Amino acid sequence: MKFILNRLNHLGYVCQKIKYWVCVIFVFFAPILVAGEQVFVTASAQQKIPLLLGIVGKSRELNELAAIVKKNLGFSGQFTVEVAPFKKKPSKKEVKKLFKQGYLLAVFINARDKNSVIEWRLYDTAQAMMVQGKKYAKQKTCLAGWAHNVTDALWPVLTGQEGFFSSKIAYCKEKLTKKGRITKYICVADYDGSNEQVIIDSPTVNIAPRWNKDRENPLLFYSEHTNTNVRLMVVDTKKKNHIASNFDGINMLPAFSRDGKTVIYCASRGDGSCQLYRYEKSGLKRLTSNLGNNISPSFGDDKDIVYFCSDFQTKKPQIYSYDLQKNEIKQLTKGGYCTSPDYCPKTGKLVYTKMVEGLMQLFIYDPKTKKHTQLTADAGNKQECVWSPCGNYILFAADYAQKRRISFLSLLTKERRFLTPASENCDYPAWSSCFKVFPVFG
Amino acid sequence: MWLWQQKNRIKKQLLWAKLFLISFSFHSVFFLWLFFLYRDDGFDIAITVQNKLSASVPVIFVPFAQQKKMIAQNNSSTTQASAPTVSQKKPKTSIQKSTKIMKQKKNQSVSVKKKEIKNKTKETQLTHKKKSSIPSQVKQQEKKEAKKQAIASQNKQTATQQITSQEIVQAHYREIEAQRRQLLLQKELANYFKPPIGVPADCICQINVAVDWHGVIKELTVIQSSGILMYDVAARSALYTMKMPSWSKGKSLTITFKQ
Repeated sequence: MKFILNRLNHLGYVCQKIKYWVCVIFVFFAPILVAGEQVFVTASAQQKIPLLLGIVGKSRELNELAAIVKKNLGFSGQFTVEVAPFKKKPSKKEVKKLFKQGYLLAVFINARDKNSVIEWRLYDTAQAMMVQGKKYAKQKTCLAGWAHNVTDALWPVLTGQEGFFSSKIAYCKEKLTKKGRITKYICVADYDGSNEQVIIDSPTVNIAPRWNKDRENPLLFYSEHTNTNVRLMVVDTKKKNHIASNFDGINMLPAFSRDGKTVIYCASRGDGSCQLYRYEKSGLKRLTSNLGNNISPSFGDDKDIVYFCSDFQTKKPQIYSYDLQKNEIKQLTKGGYCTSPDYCPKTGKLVYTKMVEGLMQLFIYDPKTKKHTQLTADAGNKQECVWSPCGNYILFAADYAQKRRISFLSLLTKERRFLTPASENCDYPAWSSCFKVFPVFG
Repeated sequence: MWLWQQKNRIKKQLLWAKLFLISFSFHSVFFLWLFFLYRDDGFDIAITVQNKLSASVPVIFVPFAQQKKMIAQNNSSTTQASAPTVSQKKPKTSIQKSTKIMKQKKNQSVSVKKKEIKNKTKETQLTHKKKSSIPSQVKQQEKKEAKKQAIASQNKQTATQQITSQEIVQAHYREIEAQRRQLLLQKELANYFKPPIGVPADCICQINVAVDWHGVIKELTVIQSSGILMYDVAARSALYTMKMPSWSKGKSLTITFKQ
């Protein structure tokens, strides 16, 4: 018995040893199990993100709103949007099903509180998880405005960029009177050229509209030809217009600082040459004093830098930067015929037009790298270019088939689209900042 | 007396039982290690999947010993090719050698003179002939050697050029295995990952994927978000839709999606 017990003890000892070695081996190889690998993936192609816009509940208003939101989301060319009705809020399973159907994202819109509030929820379909949801209390009576406001709230979550759907564009439209005289009206439209409204239809030439920078109280400045001068006028959303500047000669093209407290515009004041003037609370101050024409001012990142166009040195218009603190003027373009600079604080770049082989083309200047890049090279003059508030689009007047049309160039997709019909002559486009509440004129 | 020769049955059986248990335990440990722990990846793999990586680059499997030789040969050839001054000096050394040889021959002939006095005249004639023929022979030898060296150096240079132009991938088996995995992943992920239009070029999304033993994504966590939902969603959907390779089973991968 003793012998057997001894043997059993010995066996126990052996088993313990085996256990020990198994543990040692496991500990030794465990890091291999745990160790992860790192993989870097580079994209081969790009795609439009498939997004489902679900309308929860039956309502004609919601259907119309969804149609505008669909148009807004599809405008940039980054999403393919489809609208589908839902009887009630979808469950997690239903959302997961949408992923299997190929939708990577889903937005569900429904009305609440007796149709006074629009609620939207954004879902990541792969994880069936709500990313964000918000309520929007209807402002004013414009359904398109509600849709634009909803899209503006949705856009930064989707793309990481600020929305621009509640912005407005303004431009001049040429019309022939019964007597055969050419007049120019001022029109405003939504960002995509839809819902056009004639704001100024006085029987004279009204040109060069410019927006102020106030996101709550939009004002539109324009220059009106009178018998004695070209005066600067301002019109509000109620279509009430006032005189802003009425010096002799021309008064036009005001540029507003970001805080809206400083304005720089050009006026000739009967001298023959057009000079830049700064208007602040303290009063009016002349900025340039040369023999050339100084026009199209545009503020830089801060109040102290102003970009403008002048021909005082070379007799041909060039782009200049003016440091107001140092009182220094620098020539940015060398040679050629360069006009209408516009600075974008979002991109930190300046867009302007330059004559290349007899045609005005779009150029971009980066003040940081001091590099000029040509954007267009096709037929047709491009004039009066301005940035969109998001910095992804450039709006300009383009000559095609003996007609001047408002068109935009998308810097995201390089796509170009006309906003005004081919039957009309339109020019001097201006893009407002994105308003908090979509403005309705009239 | 040996243990298995013992007449005691119990002892004998216990011995066999002991042997069986030891054998069984070792086998079980070995098989446990083989089937559950050993996965032939005790090395670090840094896989970079690039869009423009050419799959046509020849991958040659070379035994490790031969690989060393080839590397050594390459190194030597490159050093010789890169040092033309050395090859210029070589003819000088060959001339010196030839002159030495001739001197030795001279000495030998002198000793022959001493031994064979009778054939003095003949020898002197011979030595004269030799003396007269030395410069011409040396020159010929020099020329031949120079030609040979030029040809050899040319051959080496062409060989190195061929090697570099072919871009032969010489690597250890494991490195090649890693490259194969890289190519497989590149093909798979490049097919599925399509980022949205108009996203900044410096956008990066880092995702950690835990793959279970069936090759299905068990857990997916975004380590570093790009800050753009549509980009992150596109990256995630690429992972969900693709079939994970067999080698990734039971592993956690960190995948960085770039534009």
